[in-house]
Amino acid sequence: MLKVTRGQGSRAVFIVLGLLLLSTSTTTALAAGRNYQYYNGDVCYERMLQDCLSQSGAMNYGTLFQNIYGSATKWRGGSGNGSHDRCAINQGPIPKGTTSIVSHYDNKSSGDIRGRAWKLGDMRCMEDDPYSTLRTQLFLHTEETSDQGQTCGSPYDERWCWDGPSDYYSLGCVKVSHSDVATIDTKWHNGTVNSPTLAVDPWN
Amino acid sequence: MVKRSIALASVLVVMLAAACGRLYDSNQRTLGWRAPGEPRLMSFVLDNAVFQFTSPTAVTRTAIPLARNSGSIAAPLSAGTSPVAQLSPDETTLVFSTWRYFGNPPTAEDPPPSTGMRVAHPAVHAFDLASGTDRVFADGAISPVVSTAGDVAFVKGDMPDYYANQPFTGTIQVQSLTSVEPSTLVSASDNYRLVGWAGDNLLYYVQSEGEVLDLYATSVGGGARLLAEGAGVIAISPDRTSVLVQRVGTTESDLALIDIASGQLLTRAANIAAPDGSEVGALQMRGDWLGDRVVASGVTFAGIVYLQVSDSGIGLEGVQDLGDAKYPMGVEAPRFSEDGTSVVSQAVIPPQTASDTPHAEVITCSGIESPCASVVPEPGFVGAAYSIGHVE
Repeated sequence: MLKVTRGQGSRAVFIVLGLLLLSTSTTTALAAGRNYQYYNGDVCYERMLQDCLSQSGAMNYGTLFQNIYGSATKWRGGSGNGSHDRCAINQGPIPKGTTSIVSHYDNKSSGDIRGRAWKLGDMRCMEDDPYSTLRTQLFLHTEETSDQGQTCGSPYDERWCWDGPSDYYSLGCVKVSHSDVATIDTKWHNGTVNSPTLAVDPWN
Repeated sequence: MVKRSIALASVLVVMLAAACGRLYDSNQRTLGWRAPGEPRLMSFVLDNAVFQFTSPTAVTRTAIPLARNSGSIAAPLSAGTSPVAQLSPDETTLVFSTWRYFGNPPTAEDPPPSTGMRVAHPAVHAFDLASGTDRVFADGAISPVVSTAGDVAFVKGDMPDYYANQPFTGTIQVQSLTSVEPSTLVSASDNYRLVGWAGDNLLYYVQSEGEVLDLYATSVGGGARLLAEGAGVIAISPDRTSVLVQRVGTTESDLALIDIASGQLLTRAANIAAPDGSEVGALQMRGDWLGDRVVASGVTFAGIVYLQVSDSGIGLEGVQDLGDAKYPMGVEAPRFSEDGTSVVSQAVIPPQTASDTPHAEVITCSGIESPCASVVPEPGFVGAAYSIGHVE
C-alpha cells in the first residue's frame, strides 16, 4: 500500500530532488552534505519545513519549486508519511544524500508502483553513520497506471491517480506529481541525464 | 590479544557488579539487567558496549569484546523492524547482530556503491555474560529474535553477504542457544525480517518494493499465516495471544488488534483524537504493552501516545508531547518500567549549530503530566542506541 491519505494535523515532509544533469563536481558537492541541518535563524530544519512555508505566507505548492529552486534540474518530491525519522523504514522520509538509480521502468505493471518508476539504490539513514539502518527497495515514482495514465473519478483517494498534494506522502519512496514525472522521464530518455544518481536535498 | 580483551572485559564486568551491587544475583552467575521497580529498558547497546542505568539519569558502560573480525554491533538491514540485541530469558546470554564491512566503512563523502558490489557481512552473535566471551551464533544471518524457551530465530541469507542494492533474502531458521544445528522454520526464500516470538508463534514481515511490510505468523510445523497486509507491529500483548498493528501507508492512526492464532481482527480504531480534539496521527512501530496499556511514539510529533487496549476496544489514555524543538527527529521505542509507572524512550538529537555533533539521548518519563529526565550515555556518539529487548 503506497497510497497514503492525509490526516488533519499531519504535516507533509517535502524534499526537492534532482536527477543530476550536470558535472561530476555537482554530484560531489551534493553528496558531501551532512544528514542534519542546523538552526541559524534563517534556515529551517527539514522537520519544520511545513511551518516555514506557513510562516512565509505567500508560498504554496506551486511556488515552492519556482521560488526556491527554480532550476530545471530539480523537482519537488514528497517522501514518508509525515514521520521525521529517516531511520524509520516504512514510514520515514528517504535519507538525505545521493543514491544510484538501479533501474528504470516505463510501464511497470506489477505491484503497487505502476508506470514510470526508478528503482533507487539502498541508502544509509544517517550518512555519517556507516552502521545506521539501510533504507531499501525505494523508488521514485508517481501515481499512474502501467500505461502512464490516470484512473481518476472516484471521490476517494486512488492508488493510480494523482489526486493532489496529499499524494506526495509515501512509505519512504520519493513521489513526484504526474506532470513532473513526465518531464523527468523525457529528460531520462533524451539522454540529458548523464549520471544515474539521485540527490535528495531536503532543505538548504 | 583476544584473551587479554576478554580478561579485561571480565574485570570490567566484575568491577561494575561491585560498584552497582545488583548486577549479579546471589549465585554470582546472572547479570540482573534491571531491579524490581526499575525500568525494563535498563540496558542498551551503543558503540559496541552495554550501557546500563543505575538511576534515571546515570548509566554505566561495559565494553563487549567481540569475536575477532566481527565488525560492529549493528543491524543495518533489520534495525527498523527487529531487535538489534536481546537478552536470553535466563539473562545469561546477549544475542545481537553484527555488521562487518569489506574494506573501510563508508563515509558521507563516498559515492554510492555500484549495484551488485559485495559490501558487508552480517552475523548473529551470542555473548556469554558470565564468562565475557563472544561467539558467532549464526553466520551470514540477520534479524535474531529470542523466544521464552531460549530458541533463537533468524534469517539465514541465501548468500552470506550483503550486496549493494540487492535484497538480502533467505530462509527463517531456529536454533537453541545450547545447540549447534539450526532447523528450518520457513524454507521458501524471501525478504524476511523477524519481529519477535509470541509464545510458540514467530511473527515476521515479508518486505517488498516500496518498503511495504506484510505481517505473518508461523510456528514449528504450523505453516505461515498472513496476519495483516501493509502493517507494522506496535506491540505484542503480554499474554502473547494478540498483536497490535498500525496500518501503514497512512498519516492517520489506524490501529488493529489481531488474534495471532486465528488471524482474526479483534478490534480496530482509526483517527484517534486527543482530548482537545486534535488527531494523534499515525504511530511508530516498536512500542510496548504492559497490562492493558500500550505506549508508542507519535509519527508526526515528538512524543509518546498512551493507549488502553483490550479485545473489546482501543482507547486513548493520553499524549505526552516532548517537543519538536528539543527532539526534532522524534523519540522512539518507548518501554514501560516494571511497575508501569515510567516510560523510557530514546532519541537522536541533531546538531544545533554547525560545530555541534549529533548524539543519542535516553529519556525517562514518570507519568503523562510529569516532566521527563534525560541522559546522554555517550557524548558525541553519532549513531543511535539500540535498546536491549527482554524476553518475558
